[in-house]
Amino acid sequence: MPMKQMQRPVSTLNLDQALRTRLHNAGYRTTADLKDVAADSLAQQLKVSIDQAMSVLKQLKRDPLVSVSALTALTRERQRSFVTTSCKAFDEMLGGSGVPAGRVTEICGAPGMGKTQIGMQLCVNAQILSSQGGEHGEAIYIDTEGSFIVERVVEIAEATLEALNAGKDSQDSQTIEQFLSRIHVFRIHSYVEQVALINQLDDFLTEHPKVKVLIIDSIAFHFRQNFADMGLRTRLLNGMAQHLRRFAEEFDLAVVMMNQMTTRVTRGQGSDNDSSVLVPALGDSWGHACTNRIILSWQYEVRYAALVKSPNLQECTIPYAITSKGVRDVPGHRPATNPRKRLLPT
Amino acid sequence: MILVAQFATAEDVLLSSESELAKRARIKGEDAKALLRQLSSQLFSAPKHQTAQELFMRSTDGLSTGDKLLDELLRGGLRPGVTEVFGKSGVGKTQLALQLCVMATAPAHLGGLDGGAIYIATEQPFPITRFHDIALSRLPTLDPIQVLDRTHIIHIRDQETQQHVLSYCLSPAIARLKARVVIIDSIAANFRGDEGASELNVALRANMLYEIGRALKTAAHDHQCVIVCLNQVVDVFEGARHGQVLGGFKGASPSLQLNMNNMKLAAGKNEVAPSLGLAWSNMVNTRIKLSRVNIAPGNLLGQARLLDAETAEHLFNHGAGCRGKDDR
Repeated sequence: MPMKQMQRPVSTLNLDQALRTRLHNAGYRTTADLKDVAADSLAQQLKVSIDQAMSVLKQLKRDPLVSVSALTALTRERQRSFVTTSCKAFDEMLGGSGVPAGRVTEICGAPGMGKTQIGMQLCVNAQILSSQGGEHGEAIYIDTEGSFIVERVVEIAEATLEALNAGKDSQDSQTIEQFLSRIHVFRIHSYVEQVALINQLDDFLTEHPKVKVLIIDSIAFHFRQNFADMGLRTRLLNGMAQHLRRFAEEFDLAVVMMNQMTTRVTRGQGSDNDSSVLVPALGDSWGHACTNRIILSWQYEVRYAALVKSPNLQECTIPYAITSKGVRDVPGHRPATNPRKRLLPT
Repeated sequence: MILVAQFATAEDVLLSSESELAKRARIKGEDAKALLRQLSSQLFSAPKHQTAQELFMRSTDGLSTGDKLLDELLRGGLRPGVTEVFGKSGVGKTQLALQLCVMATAPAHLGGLDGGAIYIATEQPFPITRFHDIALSRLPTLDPIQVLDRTHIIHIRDQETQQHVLSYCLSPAIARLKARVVIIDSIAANFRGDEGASELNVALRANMLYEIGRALKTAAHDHQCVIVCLNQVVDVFEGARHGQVLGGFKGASPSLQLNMNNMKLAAGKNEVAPSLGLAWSNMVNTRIKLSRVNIAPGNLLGQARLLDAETAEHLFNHGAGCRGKDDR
């Protein structure tokens, strides 16, 4: 224990003013003075309750700073698990193997782009057996829009199983019932419920440590309208984002939030120059909530996904398809470059 | 302790931040955290969670449209949720809606759901004789009394009433009448009047649409009920047809454009989009587009009706152009 480091003025402890004054009056100047003091005697000296004395001493015991060395972080990063999207191009855009655990990924798209389909596909894929290259985990689906259709999940699960078992004897195969019983669905009807659910999700995740993917479809629905107090909205959203990032880190799971698109009108000079663009909902500041942000769009007859924000991956655009079997590659498409490698300036 | 802090409702407490709560209630930060968590679990208890397997066991048959081809296309009919059906006038929106009412009220041995139906008419009065005809022709063996008796009609003529009925009155009515389908014909009629569209109006309208969407979705989920909103279309003009630029990220290339309302570009002219815009599009679970195509040009009778599923969680054939010819 590096004692010298512990020498810290009492006045810098997180205490209320009265308690700080009492400590000062009783002659305590630095944390070293408090080192060998027992809680009950401190309480007596300061004429405060034992609880309050404990709260002072507790602050000394705690290691004030928890840090991770970059080496550990890198090792951890290399071991990070992924959940595949079943679309190679999509996976490669996200770094090779799919949606990363420990991260928050946001997928934005107008209605009909397949956000829900991607969500359901991920719920299924999170459960692929480790022997088949998966994580053999569970999934949480927070449905705020009522778009989780279980019949469709069955279809996707069947197609996924079929693809996995193709050409192999299906001894360690799973049943559809098993698949379905590992997807935990929460149906949310208002933003209050959404906040309440996120608040208590810790307990659920502790009880279900195998959860590998957490889908929120969509994060925006209940937060789009109906807020007289935009400050409240920003605060709630930020609080939620904070929780989600923590879940991703602490429980090592992939958090995927779906977001809607909204029309933003920009005023040009003169009324003729007004132009409107489609942007992800919830405003600019919400863009900071996620680690990776993907925007889905049509380009004539093909769906495209564009990675527009990522700390470690190259921005790129890839085509994908939604078929009866779920999310798939567009037939004939070959990814041109490995997006993991950033282009270095020459 | 909570009383001291003068919070009016439990929600107010829940929506305040930890530090704010700690300050107002004069409690420690940790206690505030624990309090928030406890309150959360009481307001939204964990049993609301279900596994997909439980949902699957509970899931009911889809609502048949009364037409084999259409049902096949919809994979066994419409599922509980909010479905939008849009198309030009005369394309068969009301026809489809009436057929859904018949199938929701018809007995199970005829492929119906043996429940009730609610028809909310905001535009034209309910076409009662046509309804009777459809019931007779669809299910000739059935005494139409049952169908007629179980279908309830509500006329709404103004936006305010519509807002009130859809937000507050619909859910109990569904429960009382054991309705399996609710038709709103049409969702936009009471909105389209004030399209002077100042910016404030747009925001207000978006707000109202959200309220309706939320209420409908909650009702659909609580009562496992199919809610169908018929919607008119607006023309998409040549300039706008090529879409809005997809913004929100650097270097949005002009080729990467998003079609207005996310509709696929059709080769032909007469491109249309559902009215009420993206604010409403975000509210629906499934969107079905009805349109006509000329099979034999110039011959009105030779027109087939085209059903095109735009947004559907349980459908994949996104605008596959499947042909559901109405046998009328």
